[in-house]
Amino acid sequence: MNDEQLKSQLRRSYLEAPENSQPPEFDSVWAAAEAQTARGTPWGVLATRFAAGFAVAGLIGLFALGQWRGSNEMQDAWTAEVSDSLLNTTVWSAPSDVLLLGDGPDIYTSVPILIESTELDVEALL
Amino acid sequence: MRPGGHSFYSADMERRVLKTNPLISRDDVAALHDKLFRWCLSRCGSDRELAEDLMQQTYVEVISGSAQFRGDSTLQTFLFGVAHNLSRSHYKKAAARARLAQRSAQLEATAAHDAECDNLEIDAARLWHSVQELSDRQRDVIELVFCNDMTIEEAAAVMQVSLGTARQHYSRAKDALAKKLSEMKSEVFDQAPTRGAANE
Repeated sequence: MNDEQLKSQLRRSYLEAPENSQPPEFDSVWAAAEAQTARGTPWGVLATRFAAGFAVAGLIGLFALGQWRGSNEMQDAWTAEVSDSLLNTTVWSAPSDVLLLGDGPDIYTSVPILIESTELDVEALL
Repeated sequence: MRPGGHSFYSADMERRVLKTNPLISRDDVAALHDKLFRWCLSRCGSDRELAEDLMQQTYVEVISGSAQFRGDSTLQTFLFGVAHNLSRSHYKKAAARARLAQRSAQLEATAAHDAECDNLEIDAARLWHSVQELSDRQRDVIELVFCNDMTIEEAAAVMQVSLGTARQHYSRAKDALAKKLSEMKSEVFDQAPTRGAANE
């Protein structure tokens, strides 16, 4: 059986199928659609859309708040560690101090000498 | 101008072109009304009430401008696509229930029909039932191409599948129906001599 024969058989069966019966009047369906459009979106649907939008915005806000608080906690901990270590010592050291010969300079004893002296201090960083 | 002061049409009152969809006129849609109804029926498992509701919602989408026709396809393809999308988003569950009910009813109807039918020709009702027994996509592509004169490309656009997928479903559906038709013809041929002998 070729396509044309199958097509004609199918079209006949399609049109004769009882469920494909007389469609409703176009004018009545179109008029109902116009009336529905003129009424606008039902309030219930609008309310649902707003609620969904607020829920999504709320979730995003909660996530952003969690991220911000987490980063602040890390910064506070880092700040506390640095503050304690600085308060408890008078010796300042930098990572490059490993290149120095001998002990690192004490900022309370070495700096005044370095500023006032006109002589070169061979162990000074400056 | 409608009572209440709301007009959906542009100044071209003769053709009644929609303001929100300037490429569509009321008369263009009216010409496709019957075909669109049958397509909506198939989306809704032959539930007439559901199909009328789906069709009305399709018109609402067009009149309100939610669905915009840009002229890159035929109006039939566009309207069928809008109805198809609506059925998948808003009528999926109800349509699935209706389709299940339709299939069980068809099984009973086919059995009763076969017992009563005395016609030796291939029965249009049985052929249509065979179409309903195909998978959803095979049935859709057959209905769009064979019964609504669409090309496979247009059917793919309505169903929102790739062209290759549509061609595959079309080929398989055609083979399945051709086989079913051959079986029906064989039954008719087998029955004829028996009936002739019985009548003697």
